[in-house]
Parts: sequence; structure tokens; C-alpha cells
Amino acid sequence: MKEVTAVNTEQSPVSAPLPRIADDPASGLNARVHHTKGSSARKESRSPFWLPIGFGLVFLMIWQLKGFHTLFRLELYQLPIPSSIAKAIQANSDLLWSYSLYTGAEMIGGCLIGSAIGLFAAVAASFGPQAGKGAITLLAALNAVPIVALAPVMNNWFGDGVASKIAIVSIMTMATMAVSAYKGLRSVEPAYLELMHAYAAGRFTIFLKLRFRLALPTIFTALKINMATGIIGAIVGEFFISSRGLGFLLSDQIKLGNMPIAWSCIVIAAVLGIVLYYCIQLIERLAVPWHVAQRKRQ
Amino acid sequence: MLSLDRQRETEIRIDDVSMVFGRKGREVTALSHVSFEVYRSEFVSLLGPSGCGKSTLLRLMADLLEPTSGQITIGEEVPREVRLKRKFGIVFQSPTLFEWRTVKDNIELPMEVLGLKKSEYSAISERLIDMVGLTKFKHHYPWQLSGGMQQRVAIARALSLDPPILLMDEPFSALDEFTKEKLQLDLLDIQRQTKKTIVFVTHSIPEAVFLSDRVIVMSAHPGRVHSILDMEREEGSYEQIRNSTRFHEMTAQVRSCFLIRSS
Amino acid sequence: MSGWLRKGGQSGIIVLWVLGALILWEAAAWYITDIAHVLAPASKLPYLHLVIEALIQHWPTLAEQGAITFGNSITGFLIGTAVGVILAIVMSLSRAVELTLSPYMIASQMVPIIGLAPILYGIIHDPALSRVLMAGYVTFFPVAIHMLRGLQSIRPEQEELMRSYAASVWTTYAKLRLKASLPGLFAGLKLSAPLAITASIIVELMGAPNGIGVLMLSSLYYGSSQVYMFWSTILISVVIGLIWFLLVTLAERLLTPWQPEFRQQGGGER
Repeated sequence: MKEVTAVNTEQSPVSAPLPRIADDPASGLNARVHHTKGSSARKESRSPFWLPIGFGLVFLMIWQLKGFHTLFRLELYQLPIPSSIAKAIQANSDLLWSYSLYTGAEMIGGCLIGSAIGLFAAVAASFGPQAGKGAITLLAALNAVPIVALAPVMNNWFGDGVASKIAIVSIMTMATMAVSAYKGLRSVEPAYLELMHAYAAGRFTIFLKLRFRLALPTIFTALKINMATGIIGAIVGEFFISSRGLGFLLSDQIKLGNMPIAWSCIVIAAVLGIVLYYCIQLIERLAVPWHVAQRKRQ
Repeated sequence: MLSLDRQRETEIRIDDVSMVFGRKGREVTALSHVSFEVYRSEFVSLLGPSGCGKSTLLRLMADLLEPTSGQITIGEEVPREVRLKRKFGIVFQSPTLFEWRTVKDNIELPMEVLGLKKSEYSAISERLIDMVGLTKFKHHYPWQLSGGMQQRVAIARALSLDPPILLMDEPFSALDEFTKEKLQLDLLDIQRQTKKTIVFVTHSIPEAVFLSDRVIVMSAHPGRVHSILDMEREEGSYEQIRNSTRFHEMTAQVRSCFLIRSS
Repeated sequence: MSGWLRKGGQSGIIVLWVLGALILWEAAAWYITDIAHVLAPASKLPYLHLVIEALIQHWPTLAEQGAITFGNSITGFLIGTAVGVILAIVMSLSRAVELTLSPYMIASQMVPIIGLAPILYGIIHDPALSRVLMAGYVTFFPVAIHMLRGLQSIRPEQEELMRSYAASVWTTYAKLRLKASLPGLFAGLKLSAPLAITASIIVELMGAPNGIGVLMLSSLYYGSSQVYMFWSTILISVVIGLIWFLLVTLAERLLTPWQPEFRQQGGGER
């Protein structure tokens, strides 16, 4: 494309100038139609957040006023009320803080290791799908393995410290990542592959410029799921043989019948999970802005 | 008679090409002994009903498929060499844009794949964006554009390595009639400026007649070349051409190829 | 899990991978037992054939206890699925309900629901009922969320088409939305199937008198004499999880044959 000036040695059969899109009414209209479609399909989601907050408050209120106790004929030592859980959290804040860090470290460590292994497996399988698909299917079976079966085995292997819980979380998260990432890496429309092929792009370039980018949204979804399973894995792992952590405290206090502290473990674990979930979501927003924006329009 | 003014230098030679899909026992013949030539700087349409193998033929030229028998030569080379040297650009029916790339980044993709430096290709893509009239939209993402605009991006992308050949597989068939007209005119303008050899697959008779120097009419089951018709490009505005007697005569001539078959 | 039921080639490759994994297991067991001489090798990784031997030997007990765990978790799973489906439909009908509940449903994905198992058992003290309730509880959230996503996945034109036929809300659901939501439902079921079993076993670990979890715990405490028994309980729970997962996958294949991964290959990559 050296020069745009037309070489008019031949007479142009058509005298229309190169149109600019700005004065192209058809395209402009199309663009607008697209926009309205996006926003009207789902009603404007100015989420009236008082609804869920109100629901939560009412729920807590009924709980606090022993509504559930009356309804299900429960005693206070069975189901503590929110205020006593809050008091228990306050009274044991130092212990809970250090145990959350401990459990959080197991979880994050396990998630990162497991997701990395899973991603690696998916990438390897995507380069050789003939044999790779079978391996991924086998890995998917790991998803069906109840965690509790893993916990004692990992304790045997890695002792009762952090390592065994990291191992449990790794195994649990590995499969999810491998399966989702593989799906993402292989779900390329043929036309895109033909396009890359027409540009004589090598397998590695296709992976880098096309497959990996296409798989990013699914990889992040898997990471989010893994954060949730990671919490469960770490806590169930601590149920077994452990001397520290939220899961240990939970099972220990239940045996002692100290329900407010047991409940505070659950609350803290939930907060931990939600915080980590939103961390991943933040990273996702930065890493795949095109996907997040698109999702918003749907 | 523009095509006669040009030197009839052969750019693409299709020589007794056949294409059979499927495994043994369930073979489907997509193309049967197809031969023709495409000359340099010529606009050739492959026209036919679905199943006539026109898209397959385009993919054979692009080395996206390999023929069962026969030979394709582009210049002096086989399609594989041509592809590796990036001597053609390709446009599909769907824009096939990367949704994580802006208009500019999408257009730069082929140059990136080739391994050029950003400093080398930034100016090229800017010029192409101007050429297809998307200057104001260069930092937009594909989903912010209309279908016609997306297809403009795809055309600019196909032109980015300045290849001598442009292969187009029903590029306008998913667009509305108004957008289609605009893009047809643009494409003719681009060809006049750049002297590309264009192979254009379509199932629209008026489109083929309007755009082409020659129309290669194909018939289906199995895919064959039915006839090759020379078109006369007329002068005048879009409306004048479309309403001219000559245009209608040529359209009727092309259509008659199909009528004879079906009767 | 897509190809192996239909395509011979793919299933052959999977068999090869499984065989490879089994051989790897035996080799690793042989290494730590006879080469590395690790302390208490059988508790780390016993020979697989010895575990299977123990499993056959203890089959009556294992089958009986396994059936209790499995039965309760299936009951809970089915109840949880029903509740989840109903909730999803209600949420898809009313935007207010959806807005109210959905933040909690997303948050609940993060809550270690399994942590509730011991608390629940502490409250109810009925092993069967706690197992059913826990299995139902872990099932219902993933099912509801995925089902809702499925119900909302239909394109506006599809809904407009139904409206143009003057189809009632009920018909629209029967002909369009419920069908469209099936893939989502199965995604949820596949997620929650192993969780349901885990939940039942956790209840057992926290003091229920019977079930496979109790066997697991007791054989763990008896140490080396029961080590093969311990490994057979693990094998059993893995197998139960797998069978359940395969059943769900099979049902998915039968009920949603239009999903892209089940389609006959047409074209695709070269």
C-alpha cells in the first residue's frame, strides 16, 4: 500500500469515492442497534443492592431473635446467635487471625501449585490432542474423587504440617484447571485456525496469539472455582491430623461443644474465600478486559 | 474492455484439480477435474450454488487444503510456498476478528506473526485504517463495530502484508444490502489502486457480474467448471451500472448457465 | 469425558492412560517398599493388587457400609437437585428474587459448606438424616446457580419467536427454557456429585456410627494391621465418586445430545 492516490490510467467504472465510515448511515445505524440490543436484553442492572442487604439483615435479625431456634426447636448451645459468634470472634481475634493466615497460606499455595500443574497439563495436551484428550479425561476423574479420601493419604505422605494440605488442595484444583483450560485451548473456531494458517503461523504462534488468549476467560473461571474448592480442601485436610488452622479449630471446638468459636471459624473461612475470589476477579478485569466488558453487555 | 488492456500474465493456474473428501466407501467428490487460469491484477469470481466446491477451490489455492489430484501453481510456485511467503491475503464470510484486539491490533496481526517490529508496521496499519475508512474507530474493539465495519477490518488485515493476491470467501454474504453495496464499491476502488489479483467466491449472480472481470460459473455434484464468462465493466455510477441494459444482459447470460442445467 | 462412549479410538487411548497410571502405581509401590525401604511403606503407597485383595476379602463389610453412605448421599443429592431446580426457576421468573438471592448464592460458593457438616450432625444426631441433609445442601447451590445460568442463556430472538406464537409462560418453559437450561443443570450436577459423597463421609468422620467414613477412620486408628482395609475404603469412595460421576455424564449424553461436544465430528481442525 504505497500510495492511496488512484492511478487513473484506466477510467474508473464507478465514480464513488472511498466512503468514510462516519458518513456511512447503514453502518452507523447497525452500531446503534447493537448497543440498544445489549442493554435492553437484560434490564439495566443498576442493582438495587438494598434488596440483598435487606434480606441479609432480616435473616440475621430472625437468627438473633432466635426465630430459627423456635422454628426448629434448637437450643442455644446447638446454634449460637450472631451476637455471640461476633463476641467469640472478638475474644479470639489473635488466634483466629494467625490460623486464617495459616489456612490461607495452605489454600493459596495449593491453588497456585495445583492450577499451575493443571495448566501445564492442559497446554501439553493441547499440543498433542490425540493422546492428550485421554489424559485430560483421566484427570477429570480426579474431580469425582471425594476429598476426604485424599486427606489421610496426604497426611501419610507429607506429615501433618502445611505440606499435606497444600498437596490436597493441589490435587483438587489441578483437575478443574486442566479440564477447563484444555476446553478453552481447544475451542477455536475453524475459521480462526484457517486464518492463522494462511499467515503461515507456527503452532507456537497460534498457541500464543490465539489459543491462549481464547482460553484466558475459562482459565480465570477455573481459578475462581479453585479458590472455593481450595478453602474446602484446606479445612477438610485440617479436620484429620493437624494442630493448627481453621479446620483444626473447627473440629476441635465442636468436640468441646464450643459452638460460637466453631461458627466463627466458618464465618472467617467464608470471608477469606470471598476476599480471595474478588482478588482473582480484579486480576481478571485487568487481564481480560475485552471479555469482562462483553459479559457486562449481555 | 479493461481486461484486454492488461497483459494477460497468468498468476494462478489450476490444472486438472480434483478433490475427494471422506473415507473409503463414503467418498464425496467436491471437485472434479477443474482447470482454469487467473491473470495478474484480474478480478475473478467463482460463482455457483452451494456444494459446487467454490470454497474448497479457494482453500486449495490458500493451501488450507491439499488437492486429491491435479496441480495448482501460483506464479511459479506451489500454494505452500506462496503461503509461507505470505503472498496472499484471505477474507472469510465471518470477519474472524480477535475479540481481545482493537481494530488496529487486529490489522497488525499478520505483520506480528511475520515477526516485524511495531515501529515498522504501525504506519502501515494506520494507512490501511484510513483506506477502509475506520480512522475514528481504530481503538475500538470488534464487538463495538457493526458487521460491515468488522468486515472492513478483515479486508484491511488481508491487505496488511501488501500481498499480490486477495482470496475472498463470500465476504459480503452475511451483510445487509446497503452495507454490501458500499463494500463492493470500496473493494473495486481498492483493487484499482492496488492492482491486486482477486479471487472472489460468491453465490450472488449480480455481485459476481458487478465486480468481476471474469466469472467462473461452477456446477455442483460433483463440482465442475460449467463455463467461464468475460464481463464488461461499464462506467458510471452504481445505479447507472446496475440499471444498464448491459448489466442485465450479462446477468441474464450468467443465469442462463444455471437454467440450462436445471431444465 | 466426551468421546469414549462413542469413539473406539479415543476409548483405546484412555485405556492406555489408565493402564499407564496403574503400572506407575505398582512401580512406585515397588520402589518405596523394596528399593527405598521407606518406613511403613504400605501406609504411604501399598501395592495396588494387595489393596484389591483386601477389598475382596472385606467385601461384605465394605459393600454394606458403602451402600449406607452412597444411598444417603444419593437421596440427598436428588432432594438437593429438586430444590435447586425449583429455586432456579423461581429466580428466572422473578428478577427481584434473583437480585435478592444471587449475591448470597455466589458468596455461598466460597463458604466451606462442608464445615457445616459436623455442626449439623451435632444438632441433629441422626446419622442418616444428617447425611441426606448435608448431601442435599452441597448439591443445591451449584445446581441452582448453573441451572439459572442455563435458563438465562437463551437468545432474545428465541424468546421472541415463542412470544410470536403467543406461547404461554408455561409453554415457553417447557419447550424452550428448560431444554436450554439442561446443559447448565448437568454442569452443576457434575460439580456437586463428588461433593455430595464427601459431605456424607464428613458427617461419618464427625461421629456417625456407620458408613464408609467410619470404617476409614477406625482402620486408620488401628494402624498397620488395618492398612489395607484403610486403602480399600479409600478405593471404594473413589469408585463410588467415579460411578456417580459417570452416571451423571451418561444421563447428560442421553438427555442433551445436541451439545457441541457430543456432536458427530464434522470438519473441525486439520
